[in-house]
Amino acid sequence: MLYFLTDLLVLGCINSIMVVGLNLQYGYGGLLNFAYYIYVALGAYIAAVTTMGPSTTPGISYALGWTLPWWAGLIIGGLVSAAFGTLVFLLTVRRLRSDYLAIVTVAVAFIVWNLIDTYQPLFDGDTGLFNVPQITGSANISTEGYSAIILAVSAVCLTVFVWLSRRIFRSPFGRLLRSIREDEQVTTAFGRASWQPQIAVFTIGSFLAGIAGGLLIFYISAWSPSAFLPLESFILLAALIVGGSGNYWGSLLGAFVLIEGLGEISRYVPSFGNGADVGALRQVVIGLVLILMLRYRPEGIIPERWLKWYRTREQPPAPAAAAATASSGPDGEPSAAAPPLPAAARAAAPFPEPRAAAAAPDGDVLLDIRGVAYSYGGARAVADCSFSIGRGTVTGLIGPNGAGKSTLVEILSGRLAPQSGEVLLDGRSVGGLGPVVLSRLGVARTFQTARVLPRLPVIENVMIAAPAQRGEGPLAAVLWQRGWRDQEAALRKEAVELLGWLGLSSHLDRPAGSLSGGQRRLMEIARALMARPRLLLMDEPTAGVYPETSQLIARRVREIAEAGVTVLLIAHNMAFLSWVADDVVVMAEGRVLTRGPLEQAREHKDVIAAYLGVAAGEPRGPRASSVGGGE
Amino acid sequence: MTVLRAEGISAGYDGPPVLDDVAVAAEPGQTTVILGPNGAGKSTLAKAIAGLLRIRAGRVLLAGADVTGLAPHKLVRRGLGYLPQLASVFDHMSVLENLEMGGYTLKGGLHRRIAQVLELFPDLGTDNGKKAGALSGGQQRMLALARLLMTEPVAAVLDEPTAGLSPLYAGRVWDQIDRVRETGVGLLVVEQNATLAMEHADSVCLLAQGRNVLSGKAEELRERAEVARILVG
Amino acid sequence: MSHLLQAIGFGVVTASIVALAAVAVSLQISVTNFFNFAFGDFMSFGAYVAWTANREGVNFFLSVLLGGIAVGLLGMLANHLVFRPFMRRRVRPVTLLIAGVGVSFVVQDALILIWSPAPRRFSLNLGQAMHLGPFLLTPGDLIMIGASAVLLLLLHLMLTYTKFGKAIRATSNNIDLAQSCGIDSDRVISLTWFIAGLLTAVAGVGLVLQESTLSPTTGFTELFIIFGAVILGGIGRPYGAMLGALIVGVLTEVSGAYLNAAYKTSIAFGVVVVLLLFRPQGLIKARGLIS
Repeated sequence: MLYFLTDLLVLGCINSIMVVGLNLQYGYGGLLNFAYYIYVALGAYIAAVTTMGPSTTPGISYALGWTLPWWAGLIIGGLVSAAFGTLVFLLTVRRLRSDYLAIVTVAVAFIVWNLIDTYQPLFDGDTGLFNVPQITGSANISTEGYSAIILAVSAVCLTVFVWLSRRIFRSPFGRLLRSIREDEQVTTAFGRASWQPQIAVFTIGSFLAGIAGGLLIFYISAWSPSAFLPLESFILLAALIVGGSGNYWGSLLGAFVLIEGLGEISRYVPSFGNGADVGALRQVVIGLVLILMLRYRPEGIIPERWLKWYRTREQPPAPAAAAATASSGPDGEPSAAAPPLPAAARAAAPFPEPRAAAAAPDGDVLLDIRGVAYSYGGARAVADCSFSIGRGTVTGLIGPNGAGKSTLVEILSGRLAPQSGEVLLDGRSVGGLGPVVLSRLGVARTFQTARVLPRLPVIENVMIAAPAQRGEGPLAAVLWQRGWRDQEAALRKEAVELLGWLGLSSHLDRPAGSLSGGQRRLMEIARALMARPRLLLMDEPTAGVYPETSQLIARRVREIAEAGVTVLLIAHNMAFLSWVADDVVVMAEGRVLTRGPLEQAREHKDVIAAYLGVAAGEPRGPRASSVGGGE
Repeated sequence: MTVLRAEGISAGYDGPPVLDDVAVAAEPGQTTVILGPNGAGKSTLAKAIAGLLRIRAGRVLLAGADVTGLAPHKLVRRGLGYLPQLASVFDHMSVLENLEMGGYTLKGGLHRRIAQVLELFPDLGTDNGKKAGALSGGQQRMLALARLLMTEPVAAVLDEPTAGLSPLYAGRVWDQIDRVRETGVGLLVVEQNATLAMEHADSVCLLAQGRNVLSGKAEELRERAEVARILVG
Repeated sequence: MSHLLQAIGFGVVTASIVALAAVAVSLQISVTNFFNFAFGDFMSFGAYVAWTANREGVNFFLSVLLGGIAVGLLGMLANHLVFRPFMRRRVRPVTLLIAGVGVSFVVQDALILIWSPAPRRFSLNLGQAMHLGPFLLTPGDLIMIGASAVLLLLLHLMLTYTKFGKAIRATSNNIDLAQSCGIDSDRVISLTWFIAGLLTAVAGVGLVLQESTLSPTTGFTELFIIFGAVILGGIGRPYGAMLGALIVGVLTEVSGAYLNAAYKTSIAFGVVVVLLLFRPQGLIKARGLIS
């Protein structure tokens, strides 16, 4: 009985290590690896051939044949798996859509499996390896005793790896991974390249697979290709998803319940037909559970969001009495004491009087756009666009549909490279440098449709944007917590202040996906400010929000500008613009039509004509003959 | 007797409603244009009426019958046509096949109807085997209109039929729309180019920020300065 | 040289089987836009039904037809119960792939429960291999190639000339527009699964006859070769899938003839992977169901 229990626990621990490793790759990194079990197999084989010594039996051949101590074999097995994982990642991940990629990983797995199965000198082909030395060497130990030892070793390894998962989860590295997983574009828009963190987590996950394989082979003492069919990867994946992807406790639950638990229960099901039936029934159950989970509770039994290791205790100061007027602190910094708009003021109050015309522009130019052009295929979106923006001003960018405004913002944020012309930021040419570089140079943006990371808490959404965070690399995250722990607290405090300033204090820990449209836009502003930008690009910041939120946004934008940030925003709501913008640039058909105070622009006859559209003008010629008489 | 009426419409995508309590109507043989500044919800209204977007509140009446919430393919059988803004033709299929698809719900007489429709669209007559994707933008719109007419709808919703076309072709498309109107179809046309649209419209429905702001006969509204004001924003 | 030509001949036989399967996958993807991971198990299911019917004395071709209908219905069921509810909620493509994994578990292991995991013998002894020019083929091989060609031709005719075939092409081209033409896209998708299922079953039978053994994992092991052919030919492009199948089939056999036959599948995989990495859009640029 005890032996049975020990066996259960050993396999449970080893399977858990596998699922925890897969959790790092898929749960944390969003990388679907159908070939995971191959990494386990590699670890097993390498552990064996580095500890077995040369073959003494004729007909059995395998590579290496060293006689290293067991722990060295184990670690080398892990490292080889990790290296293989890195290699596969480098070759494949950047190029394909995620589901096609998953299929390619199976192909890779098959090739490796085929090689191992056929090429005898490697790992003795389809016969496999036997008599792998025990970790206790030649000491004479009972089976139960040996199991207990393996259990101890496995449990220790599992504990270490769970600790590792936990440490990564709480670190900036973990946050960065989650951000990439949810929305890669947003992550790059805030200055992070995405593939380095992903390759790191993929490699670590592969290392865990290798260790699990090594432990398994030391336990069973034998291994052959029939033991590591592709099927196993899918069972691990099912365990991960059912248990709870992204949550390491979920990984343990999945491994113990789905793999071990179901496996053991099947012993008690009276066998019908032949022995394989029970195993097949178990698989059917796994398949059904997987489908049902995906459908009704895709986060799994123990979801990621239950890992609430932070509880945002610091609340911003209680709101002052209803104050609908703007309040910017005397030093120009966003005032943490500025209250969220109280409910009483939600009745649609008209905007305060429009701003007086802007003072004469000072000579301090932040952004200079010269002759920029961009075409999508044959369609010209931006053509010879030129204007400049002074530091600390708020400039509106308006114009009818198709004028090229959004394209221009894409160019300024770095997502598109101008096909001609230049963009100068503080005198430096930045056109075409890409969003990561531009973000680090101080350009932040909000999106036309607010892009949040829906499964992550609001406060994490904002913290991701802070530049130059320590602990975003895997080594720093795991080994040097001292370096980033205080930074985390400081960032958290700053994010809380910003969110409070934007009226979101009661939503800090909620998943961002639960925010309303207006709240999302406010969150986007907080996030952009967290990046400490010099230039803030906003694309329709008040589209689809209620008037009172629109007013709040207007007030905040002015305060942002007064703090020295330059703002360029696309907007259509003239009331909003009149309150917020110093002047406007009117674009039509890719060009700048006019520049000046809003009221003047609205009366400008060319501007009106651009919005109203042009009459069919040309005298109608005789009907052109059919096809080919095109435009 | 109004052939197509939408009233109290509230609709949107994920999130808050884009349209709030919007009403619009089309009379047989008349064109009602839907105008408005950016973000007014014009396209959303078109999609909602055509059954491609869930209507959260309000109803749509087609020839007196309540068709609110019916799937697009059922609306076609009731006599409603729809011309989408982008991707208005099957670009991998030939001109002839596009028309055949338009006539999918016809029981018999498909080729006779195709011949009839082609008479209205002489531009399309010659090379039926050409892939629709190889046609120019203006010709594609013509084809889309022709496809729509295959079922002899009583009413049709056109979403920016002149978007992206040169002024010359935009005018041609509008002439074609006028001809369609003459066959008795009640038309709702969403348009960005207000000047051109108002030259051809019988009625105008002006939207801003998801609400009705102004409606009336085109000839009355044509000169009113506030129309320009609303459109600029 | 004759060795090479013989290998090419075998490759064509393999290709004809893979082509049926790849075209079925491509057809289904063109209207649903995701890989059905349980596809291989659908093939096995079709082969099992055909084998059972045949063992009970049903005429061979009729057995295959029964298998086809069975898989067609299975596809429609899977679509209705599993895939369509997911697609309605617009989940990520990866989720649909994993859902397919779940379906694969259920189908493959149901096969084990119903028919037991022991491999069965399924062969048609129609005569010895004959020399036809430079090729060495059995009558069974010829029937396979012929059946594949006929079925693909019928599919082509259906897609090109029938109203329903055009409805499939319209749905795959622009689903909203198709609906606005009065096409019930749910029904079209459902029937497309059925048609794909018919082809899938025939491919499954062909596969089994080639190996002469039938086991619950037969289809699954071929799954990636088929997906490879589909990806190679351009996803959602049945004509591309045929070309992909030809390349994969011939490559497999030729490499098997000249190198260690045990590696032939790996080599085919490897080439597909490499080609995919450098040309992910596939070999055929033309889009749409009829290029």
